Amino acid sequence: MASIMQAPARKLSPAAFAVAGLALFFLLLPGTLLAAEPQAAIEAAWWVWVLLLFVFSFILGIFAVLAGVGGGVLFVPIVSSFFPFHLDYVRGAGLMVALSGAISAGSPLMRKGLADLKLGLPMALVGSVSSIVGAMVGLALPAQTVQLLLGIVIVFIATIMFLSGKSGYPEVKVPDALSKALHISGIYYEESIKKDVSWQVHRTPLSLIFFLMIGFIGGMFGLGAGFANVPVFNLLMGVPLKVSVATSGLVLSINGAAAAWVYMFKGAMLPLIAVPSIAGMMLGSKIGAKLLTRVNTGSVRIIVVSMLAVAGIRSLLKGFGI
Amino acid sequence: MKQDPSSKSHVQKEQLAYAGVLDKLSHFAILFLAGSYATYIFNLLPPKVSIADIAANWHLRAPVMQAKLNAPLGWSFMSNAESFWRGDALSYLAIIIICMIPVVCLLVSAPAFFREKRPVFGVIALVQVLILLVAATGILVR
Repeated sequence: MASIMQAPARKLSPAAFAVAGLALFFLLLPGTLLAAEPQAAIEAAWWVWVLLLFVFSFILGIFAVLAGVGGGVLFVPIVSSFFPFHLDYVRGAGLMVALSGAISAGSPLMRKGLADLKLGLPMALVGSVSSIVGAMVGLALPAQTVQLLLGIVIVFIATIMFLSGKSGYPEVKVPDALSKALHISGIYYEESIKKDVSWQVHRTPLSLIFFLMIGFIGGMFGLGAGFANVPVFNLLMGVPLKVSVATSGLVLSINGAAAAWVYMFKGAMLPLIAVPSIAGMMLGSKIGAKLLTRVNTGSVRIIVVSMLAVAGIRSLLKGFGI
Repeated sequence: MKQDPSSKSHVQKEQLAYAGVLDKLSHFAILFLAGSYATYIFNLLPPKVSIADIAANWHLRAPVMQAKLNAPLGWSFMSNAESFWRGDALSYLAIIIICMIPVVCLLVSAPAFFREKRPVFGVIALVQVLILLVAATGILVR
């Protein structure tokens, strides 16, 4: 494809700004008012928290799909800010949320040629090693330091999400030597234009370094790294957007599986917390996918970026002990 | 194996092999996850560590809670039948099954890469399996 398609301009509704404002107000309430502090939380029955976690993950699942972000990146900062669970278990559950979502969506995307194994495997290989290291570092650091770093990362992600563009069909005139040697290229059938779209990539060595860093961050904070995988595939390597999104899921399913073992062996994986999170997020994602054509995704994206920014600020404040 | 007709000519065999196994295993894992969690929270199989104890300590760091409660960790719950047939252990097993899905998919696709004369990717897939299996042994965190 020769042309570069920018994402269409989105119509933003005033309601989105209102909801985002409301979200900001509630998210900035002191933790004690929301009974999110551990001391207050112990008062509530366990099943109330588990049920709330399921409902919350379900809603996050809907928003994640509508906003075009992975579930893990929303799950960890928000749940760690507003639920009584220690950040260790939230990160463990966050990895499982991202991994399960990618696994459940993976098969049809691979059959359609959207998720590409040859593109994803080299990136997953470097990313899985660094995600294991990231998980080990994250669980070794003091919780307050991790909370602070999480806040910084989340605010950074929110900023990137707000500013970054997308390219539907980037143009790659000359593939790099490594991608040529590995035959990393492909063709998929684009239903919207009823045509085959062929693609090739460039800047593969640089991208491998990026995936190394992304894997580390994903493992350290228990985030699904779709927020970073997709721009690297799409904007850096020149992979079509749909292929980037689908292959990102393949990469994070492998990276997440690698890092999850560190959490399991360190006792940071609690089925009581992880399972309702996975179930809620998966059900929510299915509903979100059905709503996708009927909802103004631009408005939803504003809400989600606002929530992410505020959750990041709360993480920062918690990290500073405020 | 069902395949999208529009992409029949473009999708390589090793990818279809990966997708086929992923499809079956992901459905199985979701069902197992739901069933095992039901046995856990409805106390159909008694857990090794009670839910009340977990809930009373879930604000603590993982090593602190582990020292207090000795909850299932890594493969520890598989050491004997008594620790295996428990609600929390089976829920834990469901999580392990999800983490093992990429390993099985890669093991299935690796031979297909070699058959299709793409040995570099066959090797990458096998090295990836090795990394995941090393992580699964827990030797990296001991």
